Amino acid sequence: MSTKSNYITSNCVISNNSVYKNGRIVFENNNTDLPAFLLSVYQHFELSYPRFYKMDNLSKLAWLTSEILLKDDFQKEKYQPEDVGLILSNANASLDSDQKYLKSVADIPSPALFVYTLPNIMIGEICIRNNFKGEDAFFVTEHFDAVFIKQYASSLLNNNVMQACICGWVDVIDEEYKSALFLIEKEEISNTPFFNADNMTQIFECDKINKTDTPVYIAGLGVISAIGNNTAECLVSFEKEKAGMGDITMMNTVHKYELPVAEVKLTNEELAAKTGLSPDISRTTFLSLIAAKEALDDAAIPNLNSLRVGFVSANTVGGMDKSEAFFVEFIKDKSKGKLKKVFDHECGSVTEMVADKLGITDYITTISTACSSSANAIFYGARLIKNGILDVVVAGGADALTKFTLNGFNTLMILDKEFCKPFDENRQGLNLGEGAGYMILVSAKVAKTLTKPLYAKLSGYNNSNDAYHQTASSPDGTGSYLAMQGALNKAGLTTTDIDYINLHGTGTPNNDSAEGTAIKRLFEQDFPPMSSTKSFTGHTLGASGGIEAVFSVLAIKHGLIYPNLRFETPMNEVPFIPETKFLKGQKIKNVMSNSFGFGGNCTSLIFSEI
Amino acid sequence: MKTYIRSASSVSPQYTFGDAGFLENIVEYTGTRLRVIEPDYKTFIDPKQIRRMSHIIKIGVAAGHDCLSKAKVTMPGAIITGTALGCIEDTVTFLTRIIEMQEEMLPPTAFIQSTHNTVAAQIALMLKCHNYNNTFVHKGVSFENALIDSLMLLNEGEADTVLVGGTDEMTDSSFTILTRLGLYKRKPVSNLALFAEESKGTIGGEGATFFLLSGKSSPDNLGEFNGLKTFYKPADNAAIEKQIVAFLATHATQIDDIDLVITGKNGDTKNDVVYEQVELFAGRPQGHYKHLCGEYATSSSFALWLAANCVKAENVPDIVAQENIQPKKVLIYNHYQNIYHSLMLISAC
Repeated sequence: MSTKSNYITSNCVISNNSVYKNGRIVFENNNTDLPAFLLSVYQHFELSYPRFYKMDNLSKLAWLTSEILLKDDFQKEKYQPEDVGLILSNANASLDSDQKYLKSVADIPSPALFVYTLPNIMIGEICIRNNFKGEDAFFVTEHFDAVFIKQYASSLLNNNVMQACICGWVDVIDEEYKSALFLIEKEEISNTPFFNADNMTQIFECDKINKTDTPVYIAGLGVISAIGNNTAECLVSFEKEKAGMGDITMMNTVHKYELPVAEVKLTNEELAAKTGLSPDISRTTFLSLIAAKEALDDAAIPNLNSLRVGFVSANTVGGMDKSEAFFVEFIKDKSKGKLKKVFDHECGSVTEMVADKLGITDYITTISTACSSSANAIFYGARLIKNGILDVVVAGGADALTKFTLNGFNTLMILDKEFCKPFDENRQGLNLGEGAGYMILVSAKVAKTLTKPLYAKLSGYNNSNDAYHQTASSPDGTGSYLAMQGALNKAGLTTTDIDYINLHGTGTPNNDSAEGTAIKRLFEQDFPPMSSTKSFTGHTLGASGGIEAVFSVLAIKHGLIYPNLRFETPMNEVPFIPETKFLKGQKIKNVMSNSFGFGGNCTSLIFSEI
Repeated sequence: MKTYIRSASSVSPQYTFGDAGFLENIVEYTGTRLRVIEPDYKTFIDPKQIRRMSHIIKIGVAAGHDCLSKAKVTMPGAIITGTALGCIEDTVTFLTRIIEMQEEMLPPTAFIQSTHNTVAAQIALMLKCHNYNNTFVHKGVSFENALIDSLMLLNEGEADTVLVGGTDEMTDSSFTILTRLGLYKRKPVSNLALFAEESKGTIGGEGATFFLLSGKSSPDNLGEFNGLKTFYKPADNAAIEKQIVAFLATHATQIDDIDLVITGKNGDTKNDVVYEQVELFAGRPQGHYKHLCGEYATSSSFALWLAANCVKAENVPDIVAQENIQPKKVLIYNHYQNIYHSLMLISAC
């Protein structure tokens, strides 16, 4: 079989009352029904073709799409009429006109409408207009099947049955419609995309992206973890390859000296002094406030009060450290236990206290989806900006170590008694950590008012569900694969564009195997450098997505790749190994950050240089 | 773009679930705690799993499942839940075992199911639904935030249907603690006489209510979801009125267009005065719902169930409002401890 490359030299999508040519909106006309919209397209592009008025809606849509597709981008004189073929598909065949015809024959049968009760007539209309005489075919599929159309067209092109092809999808049923046509040629014309299913799908979905496709920038960063109380300290620890794990010192538990954890190296009293909060509140609140404040100070947004500002924070167990103390008394006697200790048990309480301290009132919310919580918070924050609801969002998450989570993960037998070894064949489990990580997301409008350079933009994101098991990941990493693939699609990037992957990489046999398998399937052979920074910070649960997003953005800003500590033996099931050295001066344009949690909750974020 | 409520399903202390009709037989409770009427879970869940599932998972899965089957949708484009306290029964179970068994030999099930996103995850797992899945846990606006996420997804074209719900369970421990915190009335009271006498405290409740939202118009839709807004710690009454007027204006609506205002009155003097002082509402038909489902942080999901059914039926049950109204437009105004306020606008299709 031939493996020659073909190219998508032009594309046009018409959907949702908008016309997209090569990914850009070239015409919009809202508030009209389909016939009026099609006529307005005809008029806008100053087309002159009286046959248009006789066509049914399906042929009109197909014909208009082909006109805009070929306009300015097609050198007809290069080809003989027999060289150009058409391969179209849709879900509803000619049902739209069939129904109208059926109604009309109740009175007098209309031959004009009867001819349009064959869906392939639309191919005829395009051929008549352009004098194309090549191979044509029409398929009915439930959804746009990029893989099938690509294969069918490629085989005709590569066997020289045709030299150029117009292929795609044109569907109309009542007021629902969509067309997407692709011009496929054998010669590349200045950076045209390859003809493959991924590129077709991405173009097909351009209408989805465009509606709310305003960039969201990262203007500030803040982090606290076992390897440092701010971003600068964490970067020093990375360079020194100094992990944050050690014995448990802050909690009174039977697992002290038995299970290593990655603690923030400040006591509650020290954290209280640092934040000006009472020492009696949850440790999670201290961590959250410190990192969120660092991020806000870092962004130094002028006139913040005049903007719509939100706080989207994540955590998994709220004020659990205090509730644990309460329940010791409470279970003995239901009238005992200081209520103050349990008053802020809710996850939302942590967020609310920090928002109050930061002076944020316009929008405050908390997300809790286990270990992907703060990655979800970050892209939810970005969507609030894209949807025009907010201008600035402080987004990320926090979690402190608790006996609840320590014992919980211990019952699952996935805690390593040594320091964890993510992506190593002999990995034994994870080490729990604590901390917080936040970023300041700003709209393009706010970005323009900033004097400091922006760090990066959030270019892609996706949440997909593994739908396999409440806690375990599927063997082939379905959820992880879908999340990474979805984030790439959203960003308009391919796997070869990714310069570094910050792995979820917990160090449990199950996670690293599923994540590794998903990466193997998605990236095929071209694996970028990757590492798990959990080998430094431990697994900080609801904070991990936020902390690792901060590290990912710093990797772009400073050209860094972080080492995956303690890696010795490659995993049998994957053909790649993580990066083991701290690398500086790298050209890092796009970083993927993975976060996967209980309940099959899988999220991938992609940060890109500006 | 428009958003429609295709279907709604509620497990509540009233007969609301399945084909129970629209508040036809009202249940009276005496006390300060309303418990949900348990559906027959065997219809939805594998009996082996029922035994392992905590109460909130069962009611959440049942409501989610029933909502999808009413909408005739097998695979939603997204699953989003709101819950203030999450899986509190499993949380307390695991916490208690840690203390009682001194951190040794603990069974993992309660921990596994204690994460706040368990209900959304279990629905995804049962449907094998790989689509977007999220859970908001922000006190009195957890459900509202799940709705905001749903509306954005539909607007972005990321999903064509969204299964969205509010779930919270009341356990013995949480009821004891919340009673000690002074949330509930000192003496037992009939829920049907909750508003008869204003005093301190309310009655506790629980429930799971799900909706299938879609951008597609259909004669089967219950109603149109025009929009919602949340606001935080308003300075005074004037600030509240301003928020309401601005919200209605955003949706090209004036207070005169509203046929019914459903408020979150809960029988607590301090809570209810907030609604009573809204001058915009003076002399207009008002309905209440917390005597039916009790007070809980995601009870606004029950209010939305009520509003959607009112505009569909063009009728307001007497137990909700005395006036004879055929509502076309309903405004829901709820606040949680005068900290989190929310407005929702629903109209007939």
